[in-house]
Amino acid sequence: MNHPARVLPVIGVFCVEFLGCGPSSQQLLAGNHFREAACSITEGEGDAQEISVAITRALDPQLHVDVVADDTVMAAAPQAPPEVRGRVLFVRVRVVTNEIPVDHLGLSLDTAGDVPAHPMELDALAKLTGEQAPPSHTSTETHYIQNAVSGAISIFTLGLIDPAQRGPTTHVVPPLPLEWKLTAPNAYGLYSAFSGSGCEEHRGGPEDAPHVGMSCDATFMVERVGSGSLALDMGVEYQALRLSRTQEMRSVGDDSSWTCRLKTRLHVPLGPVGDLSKATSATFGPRFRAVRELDEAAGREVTR
Amino acid sequence: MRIGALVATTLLFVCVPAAATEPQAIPGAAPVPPVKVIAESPGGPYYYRDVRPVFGGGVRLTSGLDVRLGIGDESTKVAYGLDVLAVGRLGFGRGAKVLAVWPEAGYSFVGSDWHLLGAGVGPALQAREGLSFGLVPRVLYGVAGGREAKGLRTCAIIDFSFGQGGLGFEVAHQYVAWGDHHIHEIRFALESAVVWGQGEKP
Repeated sequence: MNHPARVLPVIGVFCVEFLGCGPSSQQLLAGNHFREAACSITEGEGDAQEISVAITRALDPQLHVDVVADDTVMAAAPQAPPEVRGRVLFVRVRVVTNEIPVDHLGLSLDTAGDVPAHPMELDALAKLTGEQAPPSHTSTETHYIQNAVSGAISIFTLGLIDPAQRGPTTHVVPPLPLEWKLTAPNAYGLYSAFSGSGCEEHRGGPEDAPHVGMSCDATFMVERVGSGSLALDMGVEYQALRLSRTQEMRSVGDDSSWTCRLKTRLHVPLGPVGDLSKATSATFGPRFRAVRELDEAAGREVTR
Repeated sequence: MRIGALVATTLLFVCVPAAATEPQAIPGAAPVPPVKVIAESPGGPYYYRDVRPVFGGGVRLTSGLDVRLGIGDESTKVAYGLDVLAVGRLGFGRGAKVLAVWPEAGYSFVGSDWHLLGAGVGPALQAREGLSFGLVPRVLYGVAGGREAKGLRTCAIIDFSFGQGGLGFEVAHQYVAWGDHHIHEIRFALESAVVWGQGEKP
């Protein structure tokens, strides 16, 4: 007697409101509802592999890698001693992603493989140029006001509540850029010649449902030793804020339990260190390549 | 004039060599590709991001006064009442306030010589943080006036919940019968609860 069209909505409302059935991963991914999808994994219900692959496909990171020629390095930093030439490869990496519907993105770049490589930092450059790194500073902070308040609480509560007194705290402050410039000018010159490393989030759309992308730059110093291979390791983190129908949006820093996080890693082999310059020129040349495209070209399965 | 010329000459000597050795930025090797925007379909679901309700069990204590209504064979008077209960807080669905089932069972003491065991279950509107409302009837069985007693208590509970804990107020009607006695009471009590289980955090 009951018409199915009348019964189904009732079952649906009962299901969602009472029993708690959520939408499937396929339904979420079909509509690019990545925030919901990320939280469905946190809730132990979504298919992590399927969702991770789909979101990464939408993010579609575009990569460019080049080895900066020794002549270019020396021209950019003419004060650098000639011994620098040939000791390390300066490998520049740039990643640009699409903007996707998540609340925040995290992207980290690192090297992998069996050759010594590390991010280009002033300390490492000073070792390379044989210069002395400027000393770090220390600053000491005393907690007079806090200790006075703690003492007052202890007195007024007759010692029932006795907050601990804090001793002085010492912080290490790294050297300023000007100190690097004066103490290790060659290292500083090399560092300045490369555009700054780091990531920048670019976002658009409404504030409560943004789409977020990212661009990152990094330079690695790869030692020219042995015949090992170098690879790039890219860590990606998708973040979705939990909201409530009756509560204000909470920031990520407010409470981590209000954020759903989905992490994935992308691995891009770059080739043997001896042929790295030629290999990156052949692979990238003057254009960015999609990581997915590189995977497909190399016959690697895209299963992230 | 002489001082100005001296300063200008000094600046020339200081600045020109410095400018000549300033590093040049190495240009990028590839133009940045255009960024595509992957849009979310409108009217997206809002389920997994919503807060989970508390779904677990715990302990609830109530302490208050039982006002006897003078119905039947008792004149109106007041008695002290205390409950120690094992409780369930079973919220379903998602959201800051959800439908829930609250089973409760435990010991109830009234006056000076009522010792009753009770158990029941009732519906509730349960908040993870904020005001929750429940209506829980419990059947009672025990001893009153030294004789076997049976009864029914219907509790209206207003609980200010904050995840694991809750504080609130309870108003209940209680009917207890033993022998020829039939007592109706209204209880006004303060209550507190602690619950452990899923949903203490979102």
